[in-house]
Amino acid sequence: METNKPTNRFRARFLGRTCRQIVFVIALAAIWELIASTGYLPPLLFPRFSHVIQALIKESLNGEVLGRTWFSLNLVAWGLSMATASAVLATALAMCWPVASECIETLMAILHPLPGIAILPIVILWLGTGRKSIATVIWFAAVWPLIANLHTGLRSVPITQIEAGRNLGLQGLHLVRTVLIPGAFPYILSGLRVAWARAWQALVASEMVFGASGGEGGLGWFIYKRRFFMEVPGVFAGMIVIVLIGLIVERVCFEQIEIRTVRRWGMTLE
Amino acid sequence: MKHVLTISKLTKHFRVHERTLIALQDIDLSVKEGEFITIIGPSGCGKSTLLRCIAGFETLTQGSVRVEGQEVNRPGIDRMMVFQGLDQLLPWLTVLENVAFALRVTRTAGTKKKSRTLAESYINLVGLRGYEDFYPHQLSGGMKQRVAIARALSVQPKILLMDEPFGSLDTFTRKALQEELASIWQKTKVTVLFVTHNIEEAIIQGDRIIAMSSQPGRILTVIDNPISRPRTPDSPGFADIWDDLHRLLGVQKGSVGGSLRQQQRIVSYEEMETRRLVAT
Repeated sequence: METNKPTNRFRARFLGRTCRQIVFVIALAAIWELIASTGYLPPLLFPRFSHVIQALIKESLNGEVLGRTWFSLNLVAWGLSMATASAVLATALAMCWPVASECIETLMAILHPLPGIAILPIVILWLGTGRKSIATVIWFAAVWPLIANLHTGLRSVPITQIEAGRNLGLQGLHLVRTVLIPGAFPYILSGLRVAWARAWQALVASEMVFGASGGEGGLGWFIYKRRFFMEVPGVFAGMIVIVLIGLIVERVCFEQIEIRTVRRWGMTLE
Repeated sequence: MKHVLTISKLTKHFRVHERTLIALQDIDLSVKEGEFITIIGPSGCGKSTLLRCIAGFETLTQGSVRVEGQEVNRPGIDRMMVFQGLDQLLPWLTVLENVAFALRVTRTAGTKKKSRTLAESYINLVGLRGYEDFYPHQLSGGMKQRVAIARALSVQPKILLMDEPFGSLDTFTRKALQEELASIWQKTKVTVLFVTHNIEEAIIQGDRIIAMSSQPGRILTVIDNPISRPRTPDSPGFADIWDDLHRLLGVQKGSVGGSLRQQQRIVSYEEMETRRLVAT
């Protein structure tokens, strides 16, 4: 009987797809360079791709890129962990008491449509500028998709599986840990993915608001400063770094986890 | 042989939309160790509810369920259930891990190595050797049910409760699994309560056949099956029991496959229970 190893097949497909995507991106960069080098568009508005890369290399070598990225990622991690903890708490309450469930649902309906950045002015008034405000905005952006997905996920576990677990004598937290959480995993992963995307966007947006990060700063602040000094290649360089990080987290982190778990188990949400 | 299961005056009411529905009324039943009992009745007669009450998934309105003299009112590994649905296996575990999980979690085989070895033997018993590393979504319906049976048997229950386990399967798979189940039963000598709506299946499998009526759910009669195994529709005496059951359960002769259909559109208790679960 053939051993059931999905990783090799997926790896081959992953590499093939990645190669095609890299070729496409290189083609886009080449077109960018060509258009910019004609001089038809003012270089201040549309710098050459090669200049953008030069700026990127320069800022990487002097540690700016690394420092700003580290700051940004730290803040996102902080905000996301708080959001995850809040989501777990809120969902636990909602599962235990129907009243809590209704309250949380109502709260979500009201606040979910607000983009994280929209609450920044209020948060600055309450907490001042600096890391705390930005972390709060990140928390706000991430917590609602986390609660929604965790709640839906736990309720999507088939009752038959739960009863099979109870039949084996499982109950309480043991049952939750061994049957409900793994059963809800596809939704949990989906929630984390959405939460990360919203958190990352909220972070960059918040940092760009002048003075929000209070002097220190991440990638958003990096872009803001470059724009302020009209170093347009630097602006584009910053954007590239932001995109790269988003891509890496999505492809190297989330997608790999998805392949090894949700897809292997045949539990995809489609 | 002693009585492994004693049910006395079991009554179960459901409250649905401010009406009280009597799913089961005064059920009395004694089952000896090692018996293979089939329970047959029309849809909604409460046979699934009866099984769920025995398993401990439903609270009784009245009466008691005793296993070897001890009253039981919650789920336990002494009464293992094989459900009808094809989603009872844990999808994130392989076939082997599903059975090993049951063994470890019930402390039947505590260590990883012991649980894997024992799990392998049960997977072998149900004829799935070589499929240990498959995930449930890669299995056919019949194979999934076999794994479920392996999992249920592995923890060595006193009673195996089977709630129309082959109901979602096609005729060929069902027949194959019926034979396998019979041979597994003869090997393990476990007590089996097997619910079905298929009269032919009930007569083939059951040493005692319990016919139930619906609304309220009551035991109409208990038929001792004198035919010796292996039983087929050609076996002497089969036709008599077939006729008896058809008459008792008020079914037209010549119904396809001997299945029972509701004469009127009465909402079954299973449906109401599902609605109740969905609404909460």
